[in-house]
Order: sequence, then structure tokens, then C-alpha cells
Amino acid sequence: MSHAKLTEEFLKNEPKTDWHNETLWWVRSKRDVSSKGIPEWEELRSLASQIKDNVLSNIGNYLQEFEKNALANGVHVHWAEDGKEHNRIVQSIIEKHNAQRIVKSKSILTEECHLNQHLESNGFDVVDTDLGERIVQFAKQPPSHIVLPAIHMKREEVSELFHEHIQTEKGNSDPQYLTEAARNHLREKFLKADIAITGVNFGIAETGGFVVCTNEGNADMGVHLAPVHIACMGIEKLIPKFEHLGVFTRLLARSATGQAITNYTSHFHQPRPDQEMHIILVDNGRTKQLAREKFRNSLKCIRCGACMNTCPIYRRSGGYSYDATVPGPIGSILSPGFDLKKHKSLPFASTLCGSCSDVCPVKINIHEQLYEWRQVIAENGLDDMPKRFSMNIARKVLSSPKVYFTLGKIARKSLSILPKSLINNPLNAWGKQRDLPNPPKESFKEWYKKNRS
Amino acid sequence: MSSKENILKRISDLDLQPARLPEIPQFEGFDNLIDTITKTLEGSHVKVTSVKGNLIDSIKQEISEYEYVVSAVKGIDSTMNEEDLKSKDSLNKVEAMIINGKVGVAENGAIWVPESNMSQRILPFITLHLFVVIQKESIVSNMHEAYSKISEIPGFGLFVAGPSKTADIEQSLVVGAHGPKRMTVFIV
Repeated sequence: MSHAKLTEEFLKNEPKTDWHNETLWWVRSKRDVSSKGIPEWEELRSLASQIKDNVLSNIGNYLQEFEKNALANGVHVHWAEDGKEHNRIVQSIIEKHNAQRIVKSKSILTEECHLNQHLESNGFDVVDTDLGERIVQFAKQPPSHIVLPAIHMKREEVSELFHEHIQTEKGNSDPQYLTEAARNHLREKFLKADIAITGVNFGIAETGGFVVCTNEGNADMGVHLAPVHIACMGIEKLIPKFEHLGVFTRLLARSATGQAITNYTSHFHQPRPDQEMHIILVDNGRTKQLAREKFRNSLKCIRCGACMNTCPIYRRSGGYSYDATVPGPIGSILSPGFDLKKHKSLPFASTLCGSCSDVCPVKINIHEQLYEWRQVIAENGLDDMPKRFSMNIARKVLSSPKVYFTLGKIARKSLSILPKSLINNPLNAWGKQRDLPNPPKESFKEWYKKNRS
Repeated sequence: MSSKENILKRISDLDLQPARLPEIPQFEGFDNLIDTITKTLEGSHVKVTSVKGNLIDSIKQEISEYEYVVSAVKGIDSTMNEEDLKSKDSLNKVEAMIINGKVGVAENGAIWVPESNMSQRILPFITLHLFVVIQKESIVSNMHEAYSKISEIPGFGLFVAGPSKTADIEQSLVVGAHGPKRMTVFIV
């Protein structure tokens, strides 16, 4: 279904839509305050962007350097071509350890690979431990935002879910109370877990280590208690050197939530003596995107979500309207690379205002890539018929001054006498919230001739 | 071919021209590091104690209410022994964990703790209340300086910047998500 169609669903509840819009704008404003506290903010963005340029241009060597160093640190390294292989590798590690209980911290990559569904259908119990992710897991939904997974939900809905799943008091929707209940519920899961799965924020080629950032401490609670740690990492998450973490840790949390840094920035290099540590390096379409020159630098993304918080479309259409693992502006330039046909409406879910590019901490030219994808979609004949039809007419009209002038005259006359059904009809999406304009008596050209010539 | 070979081949077939790796310049720091880190930490729900007299006495005073104490700081005794801490259920009882921080960052309040200072990796996370001691001289302005001070990379190392928190329900902040509900920093 198209983005516009799915958005209709979200817009049905107007107060909630307004709340969603305003709350994300508030997060965006916190990002502004936080970034302005750093005089060299723009320089940091440029540095981050250049470091990622270097990574993408040399990624094969960095991957091999990373693997060599990780192996030397006593970490097992696996390579997966796609989501399916990634899931098979995870499953084989679980089976090797005869494990049943799995805790998982936030990882957009595992969402992308549909790991939970894979493991659950094979009889394993996977518990998402980030509070927002646990909420959407209870609701059997995917996250609607990559940093704020349950931002589409009101506290009363969370209260209902918790009452049903972890027996909290009916009707008690106090966030403090609900969070405490989730803490106790998940503490049990942490203590009993056989395997802990995490994502990776940054993989360091120079040292073979990786960094995981959380505010809740859920990744660490899982990893340090479980006998096995599996870290799932998209190949683009690499950075060349340890010192580069200085640039990215200053940018990430500020861009995401306006915090100066996440509470926990955990650096993993070796397993505990009584632990096994695995890293899975996943391609799943990334080398294909790398080959697309115009879209290559979408792979610089560090998954902060700032482009979603600022986007006037995302804020008013919600994460689910994108029907993609990564929603919002960045998702709209990544997803068509995975499946052009399925995601053909996403590059059009934008006003091309450019706010996404302005806030991106690694300076991805998101709005320009949205525009580029539109060309690709039209070239592949995937743009929708009414739009193609009207654009063809517009091209003819606008390329001939004579036709334009004559049609203008006709339009000014006919607008006042035509029935409203001409615009307010089911065939015309624009007419849904719009009426015919009041036509002016004359065109600008006519007015100019009378008054200025 | 293996997946690794396939992935690497797809990359090498692109024959990309290496882009230059930029140098990271030195950025201007703060004049008053201690005031800055204190304000930053307090803004992140951390209690900051500037130790004028005896550190051990200050810590003892702060942890007096707790029965289950684990200390990685000399001069403070743990009430739980190593044998106790082998079981997850005992770990779950820990109320106070006292550790030494190695580097403090004024700009964001993050404190670097290598695993050798933690006794066990899980302890700074599973404890109810985390206490971190940091020396004035080891406070730096920003993350670049902090990373340059980490000469030995440990098997596990942590920048901790506050008690565990979440705002996943309607963006309303709750301190004490999975980890510590409280954090205290002693600046010595």
C-alpha cells in the first residue's frame, strides 16, 4: 500500500496525530539546543561525513582489518550475505549452546532481517529488552521509529498492554509505575538468559572492537549476565580508528534526543573468560547500495533518527505509513534500494524541504537523493498513472506560451461556473481537503499590460 | 565461494577510489573543568560530591544505608565476597557498587571505567546505586581528549554518564530503567 494510503489510517485520530507531531518537534528542538552548545558542531558533521566517505571508499580493507583484529581478540566473526543467512547463523549459535532463552537489545539490523519472527517460528523465546521495543513486541508491532520505538503509542495503550502481559493494575498509566513494572519483569529475563543479542553502533577496524550505546543499560544487562553474546552489525557501521569514536559519540546522542551522550557507551573488545562472543557482519543489500553512486552515501547513516524528528511528513504520518524497517526520510532513500516496487511511493513522501539533510550528523544529502529516486521510479515506469497523465499534460501546456495563455483564460472563466465535484471527487487526492480557488479576473500578464506598459 | 568472499568481491569489483581520511583537529576546551563536569552530571540526575576531606569517610557516609555493598575502591570493604558474587541471584542483590573512574569528560559528564576497575562487568549495571570516584586531574574537556588518554584498550570499557533512564512511554523521563536508579560521583 502507498505511503499516502497508510497515512490516512494514522490521521484518523487527530489529537493523537497532533501529539505525535508536537512531541517529535520537541525532540528536534532539544537536538537544536544541544548541538548549539558545541561551537565546532558543523566541523564535527563535516569530519564525520568525511570519515564515512573514507570508510565507504575503502570498506573491503576495513572489513578484513576488523575481522583480523576481532579474531585476535578471541571473538568469533561470521559473514552473512543477507537476512536469511544472518538468521541461520544466529540460530546455529543458539543451537550449539542448547539455548532457549534469548534477550535482545535494540538492533535495527535484526528488525531488517526479521530475526525475531525467524527465531520464534523455530520455537525460541526472544525478549526485546529496550522498554520501547518490549512495548511494541507486546503489541505485536514493529518499532515505528528507530530511536523511539513506541512513539506512536499513548500511555493508556501501554497500560492496557502491560495489564494484559505483565499484570499491572488496570487503568494505571503512570510512566513511572509502568517502567518499574517492566524493570522487574525484564530483570527476571536478564538473570535467566542463555544468549544476549545486541546491535552495533560502531565497529572499529583498527582494534576489532565495537561500541553499543544505550540509555537504559539493557544491552549491558543482557550481555554481561549471559554466557554468549552475539553482536549483529551492518558492514557500513565500521569506522577506521579508535580515535574516531570521539567524533561520533559527540554527534550521535545530541542528534538523536538532544542528550550530550547516551548514559552507557560500552566498548567491547574481548569476551569475558567464561563467555563466548560472536560478531555477524551483514551485507543484506549494502554492497548493492554501495554500487549506486548517487545513493552510496546513504550508507553513512548512524541511525540517530534526527531526520524523522524534523520531517514534516514523518511527524504527521507516523512510522507505519512507510511500511519499511527504517521509516522517515533516511528510510525513504534506503528502502527503494531493497525493493523498488514495494517502496516506490516513499521518495514522494516528502516536500523536499531539505530539513532532513540540514540535521543529518553525517551530512547525507537526503532530500536530493529523494529527488533522484523519483527519477529512477519514473524511468522504471513505476510512478502512478494519474500523476504521469497530469504531468504529461502539464509538460505540453507549460512548454507552449500560447497554449498556456489560452488555457489560463479558459480556466479563469470556467472556475467560477464549474461544479465543485470537479475537484472534490474520489479520483483527485488533492481535492480531499481542498476547494476550488476563487479565480482572479485577469492574469498577471494582462494586469501588467494595462498598468505598466 | 563463501559469503565473505562474495561480499569482498562485490566491493572490489566496484574499484572505488579511496577518499582521504581527515585529521581530527584540537578543539578548544573549557576553562573550568570541575564546574563544567559538575553541572553536566547534575543535569543528568547524578549527585556530585566534591571531596574536601577524607574520601573514604565521604563514601562510607553515602553508603551507610546499604547492606549489600561491593567495592572496587581501596579502603572500602565489600559486604559480599567473591564466592557470593558467583551466583546471579546474589549479584541481583547488590545495592551499592563503588568504582574508580579513569577519565572524566566535562562536556557530557561521561566517565571512563575499564573493566579492571569493575571487579565484574555486570556490577556497574546491576547495582541499585552506582558510586564513581574521579580524580580532578583526570577530567578533560571533550571526547577527543578522553579517547586520546585511553592508552590501553580493555576487553570491556565503559563511558557512564548517569543512572539508567528511559523516556519510552510518551517521552516522559523515568530514572531507573534496568540499571542503577541512582548515581553519585565523588570528585577528589
